[in-house]
Amino acid sequence: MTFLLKQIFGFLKLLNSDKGTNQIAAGIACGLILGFAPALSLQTLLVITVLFFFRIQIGAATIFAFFFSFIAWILDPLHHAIGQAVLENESLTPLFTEMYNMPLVPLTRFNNSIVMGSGLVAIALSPIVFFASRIAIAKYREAVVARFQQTKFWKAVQATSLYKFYATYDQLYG
Amino acid sequence: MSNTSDTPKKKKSPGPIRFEAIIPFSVIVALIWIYFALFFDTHARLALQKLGTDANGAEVNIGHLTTSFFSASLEIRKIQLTNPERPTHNALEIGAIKWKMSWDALLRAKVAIDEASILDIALGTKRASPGYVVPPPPPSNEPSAADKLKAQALQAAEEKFKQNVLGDAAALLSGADPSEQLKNIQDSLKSQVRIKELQDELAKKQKEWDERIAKLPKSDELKEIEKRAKAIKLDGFTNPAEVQQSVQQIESLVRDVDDKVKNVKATGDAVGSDLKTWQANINQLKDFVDKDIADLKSRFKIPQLDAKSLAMSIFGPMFLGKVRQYEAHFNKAKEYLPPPKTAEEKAAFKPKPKERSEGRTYAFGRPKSYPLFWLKHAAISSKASPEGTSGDLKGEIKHVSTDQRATGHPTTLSFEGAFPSAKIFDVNGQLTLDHRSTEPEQSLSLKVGRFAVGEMKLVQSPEVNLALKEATGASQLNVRLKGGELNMKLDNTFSKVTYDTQAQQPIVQEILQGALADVPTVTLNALASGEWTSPQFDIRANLGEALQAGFQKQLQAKINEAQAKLKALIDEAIGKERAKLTGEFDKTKGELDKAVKAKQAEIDKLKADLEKKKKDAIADGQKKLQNEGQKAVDELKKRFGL
Repeated sequence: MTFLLKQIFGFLKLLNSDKGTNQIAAGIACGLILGFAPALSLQTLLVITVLFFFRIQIGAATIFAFFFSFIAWILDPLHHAIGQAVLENESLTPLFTEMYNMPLVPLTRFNNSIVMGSGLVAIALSPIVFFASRIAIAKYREAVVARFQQTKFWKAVQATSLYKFYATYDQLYG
Repeated sequence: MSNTSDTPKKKKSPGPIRFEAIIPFSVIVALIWIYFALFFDTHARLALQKLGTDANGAEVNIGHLTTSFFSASLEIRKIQLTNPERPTHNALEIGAIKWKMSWDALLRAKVAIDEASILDIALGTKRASPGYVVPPPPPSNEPSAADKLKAQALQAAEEKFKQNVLGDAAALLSGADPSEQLKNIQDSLKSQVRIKELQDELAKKQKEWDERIAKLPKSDELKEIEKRAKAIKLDGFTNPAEVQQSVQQIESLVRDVDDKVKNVKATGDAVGSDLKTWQANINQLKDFVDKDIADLKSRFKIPQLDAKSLAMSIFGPMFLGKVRQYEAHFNKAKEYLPPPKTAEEKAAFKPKPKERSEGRTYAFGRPKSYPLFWLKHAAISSKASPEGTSGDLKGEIKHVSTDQRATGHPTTLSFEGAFPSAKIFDVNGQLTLDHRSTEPEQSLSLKVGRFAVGEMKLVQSPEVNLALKEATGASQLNVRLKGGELNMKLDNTFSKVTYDTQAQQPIVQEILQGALADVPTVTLNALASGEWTSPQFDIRANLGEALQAGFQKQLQAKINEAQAKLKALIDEAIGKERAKLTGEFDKTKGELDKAVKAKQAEIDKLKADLEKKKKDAIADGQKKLQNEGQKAVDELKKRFGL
């Protein structure tokens, strides 16, 4: 829990700084895949491994996984329809039969219409979400963060010794 | 003063790979690898030893165990299974077991072995030090009813086989006269105790019956009804209303009589039923007497000198030991190869429903599935070693699995060969454990063409000892267990037999030697069959017949005499009381029958009289009416001048 809270605070800090745009965008894209995938599945494990090995913002992935799981729940009928269409496609049957009899692969539960549909939607949307997130973050920083930093309130806060202590601490140990 | 020294160093931007996580992760992986490389084999060996010891019931040792991750292979060397009945020796020793697991199954978290080999098998080898024997488990607090019955049945068989027929016969021959001891036994006779009980109960019952009889309608009451009947007008009716009134009065009396008839009938039925029960109790006394005779025969060791009893007494304990041994082995097999769950058991396990929509799950053929453990095929191969401990053995084990329904195959073991060092030749065995249905079936067929028999003690008692000193044996064992039913057949032949006989009395020694001289080959045919809760044992041996013939001449007269004395003694002890009880019962029965029948007759007569009176009254009324009618008609005719 401490690790998760630390990651979420890190996300908020990074979002309000001028760096880490790709990390956050990648985290949001991973959150999309996590949110759309079933909780206990091979693809979830794979995404978590990627989050662990690469510098992707885990806080962003966690928050957006939670958010996208609601979206997935709403879109389940659509996912079912897409998954059904793919799984019933006769030209893909030999591939699915092969996958079905392979070790580990069935752990993805690809043969379920909703898992297949939501997985395909997540994969298709993840690059779009990545680039859209980059743009949104840049816009947010320009429109919200930069303006906020120009406010008298923020300048007053920056002038306090507490803030200076925090800024020095962050610079040294951040 | 320069500002450059105050400018904070700009932090180097970290790269895309999270090294601060990868490095500790790699360290953990390395530690795990080191554990598997250095310690896992030892720990696995110790764990297998522990599990094996629990399963075998005696110490299991594994000399060496090697695993390989990349080839998914396992090699176990020098496996020793201590014989629980002889801890200084191994029941079985296996030189090596090698197997290679399938990665396809391992990736599905299952163990499947396509091919394995079991090498250098030896039986009965001596251990370096005696093995630890696991103490028998304490009896379960709440054993199942079936287990209780099974244990009771085996205990009863054990008690039966404990009878030392040969020793008792020897004691009888030595001059002991059991009838001399049959004094002051009256108090312990079950039949006598029962007679006393019945006498007390009969006294109570008689009181009860007397009360019932007393409640029957009294003669005064019946006379009163008769008197009321006489007062009813039965003729000289002047109008139909009088007839109807009389009939109603008679019917009322008939109803009263009917109530009394019911009372008498109910009493008669109840007493009749009681008398029947009592008659059965009286008849049962014969069974008590028979049981007393059997108990006294056992108590005073009067032997049952027939071939079957002799065979049971000599070979029964050995055969029962084998039954118990196989029962334990097959129970163990059931524990490790559980039969499939019944529909009720399956219904008890219900997975939680998923929160998200379930969608539709497609099946693309039947997915490759494995049970948790599956040894598909293991070749058994053993060559006699120069040291002479191993045997020449060839065989195979097929489909050892934790879920036979998933594999679709029963577990089978077949082997043939010989153990020259142990002087065991022409061994041929077939074992099948079929646990695919809810009613498991297990069968074993084991044939040993020739084996050397060392000293085999058959009878041990202060009066007589009988043993096979040396012999050559041949054995065929067939065991089949299905559900709760057992069928075990053992056919043994011991040829070239040398006997060892020792008897206190020279005459017994002489009889034994004489009888056994004509039996160079001993045959034993034993059968245990039926439900586990009540197995039937049938043991036949030519040794029993020979001993029967040998002892019969000398003993039968004594046995008959002792049995006759026993019977006479019991008759004397209980005869008077029994006759008294029977007499009392017969007298009471007669009196009761007489009383009930007399009352029944009296009431029946009264009822018949009333019915007759009713008929007469109706007939008289009708006649009167007819006459009146005729008169009226005649008068009318007269008036009209007809």
